[in-house]
Amino acid sequence: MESSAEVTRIMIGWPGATHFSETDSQLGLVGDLLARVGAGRLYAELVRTEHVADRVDAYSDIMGDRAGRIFWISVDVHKGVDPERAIESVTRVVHQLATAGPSAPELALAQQRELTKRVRALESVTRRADLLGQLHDVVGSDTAFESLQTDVLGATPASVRETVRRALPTNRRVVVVASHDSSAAACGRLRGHQ
Amino acid sequence: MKYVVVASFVMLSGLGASGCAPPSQSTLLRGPKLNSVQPKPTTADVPLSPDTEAWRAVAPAAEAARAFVPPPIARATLSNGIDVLLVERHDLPLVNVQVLALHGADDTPARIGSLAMAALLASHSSGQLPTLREQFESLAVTASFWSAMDSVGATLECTESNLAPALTVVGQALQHPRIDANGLSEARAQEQASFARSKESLASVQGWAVLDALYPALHPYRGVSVDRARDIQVVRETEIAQFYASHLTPHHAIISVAGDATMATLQPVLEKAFGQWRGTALQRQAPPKSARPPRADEARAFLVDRRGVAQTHIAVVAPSLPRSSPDWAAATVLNAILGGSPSSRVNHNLREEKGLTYGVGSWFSARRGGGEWTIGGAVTRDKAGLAIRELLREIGRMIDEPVRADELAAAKSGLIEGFPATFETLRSLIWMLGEAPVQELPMNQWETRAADFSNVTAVEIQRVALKYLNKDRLRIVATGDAAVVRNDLEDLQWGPVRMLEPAASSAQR
Repeated sequence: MESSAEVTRIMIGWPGATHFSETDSQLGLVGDLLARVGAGRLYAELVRTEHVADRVDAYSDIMGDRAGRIFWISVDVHKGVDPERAIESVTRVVHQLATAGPSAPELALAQQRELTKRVRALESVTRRADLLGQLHDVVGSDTAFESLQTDVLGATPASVRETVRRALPTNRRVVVVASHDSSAAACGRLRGHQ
Repeated sequence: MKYVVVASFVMLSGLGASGCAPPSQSTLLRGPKLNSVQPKPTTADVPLSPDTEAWRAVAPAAEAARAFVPPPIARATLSNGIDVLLVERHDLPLVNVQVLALHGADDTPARIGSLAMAALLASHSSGQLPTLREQFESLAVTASFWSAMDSVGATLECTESNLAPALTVVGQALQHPRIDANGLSEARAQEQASFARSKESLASVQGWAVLDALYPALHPYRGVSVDRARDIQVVRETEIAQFYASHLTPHHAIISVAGDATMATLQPVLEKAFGQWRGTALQRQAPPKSARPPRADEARAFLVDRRGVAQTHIAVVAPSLPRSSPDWAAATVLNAILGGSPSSRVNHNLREEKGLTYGVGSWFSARRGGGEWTIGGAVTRDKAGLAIRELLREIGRMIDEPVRADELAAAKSGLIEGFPATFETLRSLIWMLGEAPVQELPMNQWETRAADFSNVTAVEIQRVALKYLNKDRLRIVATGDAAVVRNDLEDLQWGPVRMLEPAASSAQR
């Protein structure tokens, strides 16, 4: 994709999990482990160490409640850096998480942050209503409400590692690059990426 | 209340029983019995017939608005004079804290402030400790360090259990601000990237153009639009240190807290974290001068050229008013009628009647020293002239004709009944707590808000419209393809069109 944008942005997407499923909860933790500002693995590697990116993010989108969500990794490539290099770095970091999993302290912090985020989502009456509506729509009852907490607390380094291995394989992803570079591929699969 | 329950029940029963079919007679029969005390015609008053959907033509009546009682604010003072404000809320184990100093961009260029605060968060507070951001991360606390137009400070989102350690970290950071080369470098990169992303947004560029059109080059409220990219690179560590010394001071500092805390437990923790904070005694400076209307010899029409863009962003802009102005309530009601909602006058005209836009509106900022009043939005790229004429016509109507009674009542009702929603989250509550000291408002402003809106009259709206939105105060700003838009602007006969390039550095100007 070519655009007049000054910033080159990479979006890497995987078919995600059904909203409120256990895998969905684990992918919430994976998003935190990968991309939180300051200490996430992608942030540390791409922004701080390699200086190939200015911003990273990892999240499940809010669409497709029943059909399953899409898990996205989004990277704003540092000016002058080849997007291919940033994609390779993302691939390596995700592979490391799929192979070794998070450390126990790393996961514990991610769990605490995720739980805090979920409690904060209950602050607003509108968001409470949205959440209850989604639970009814997707799960069919609000009894799943308690599982939102237990799924987060029940995650282990091994279960997160397994989730990353199953949910984020290289051969199931779609890579989109929006670049100001007119020589970039107009459309299609990038060289070396399925 | 009874009617609302019935209406919901009818609707759900009808859908549940037969999909989109009308509700059955037996279901509707439940209405009159419960609704007999309601004076207005309602669903249940419509003659019943299984073959008609006439009941849909009558809107359900709302119950009478309940009086809103704002939450009480507890106050305390630390031993060094820092004021503490607390609103208790114990339904969730969450606490938000804002430490703010009442010295912002109004006495120092904003671009230094935001970089300085970002660098502080990314730096090691001492050689042995992790960066501040990592310290907050390890506590699972969301922290932001920011610099705004009229204040500077730090905001924390904690759980009740990690409040005390988080306050210790932020207390140390503000009392002994230190940055290092890595932190400054990271902050520069983040600010540059953020600026580059903003430059891609036409709405951002249009916003900067409005500031360029209204304010002279060195005005504090002109904000980030001047030389941003260059400044980020050239600001020196010594300048940042000076910023900390002149802005991060306990004099005129306020600590606002909302959430699962009591003053009895909070005050000792705050005393420990902030009680030893000393700093230069500073007087808060007078607010900056408001933007002024254009002189006869100054440009009144401005254009930013963005070749090939699909839409044109247009705005009619005027200097607005300070937040503490007695005209604020009337201006807010006026704005609601003119462009503050999807059913407002400008949106109805340009979207519903003319089909020129997906949506336009109006809004105004009101800081210590005034702000900007903007009426506009994105319109079809080659219809900017027509759209601006219609905006001007609607502004003129606000001055020339009293607003209708039903418009006035609806606008006031929306503002009054929407006000309690601003207390819904701790984040907005903290912002509301800080607003009074920053904007020099009485602390009881929450209690008088409904009466302030309720007392606004049609006559007063006309007066305020004439005072702030008369033609002599207006400027026109557009961002779009100059090849398409420029002639349109010239045809308006608002004088020569001045080209702007708000994201450029001074060397490019």
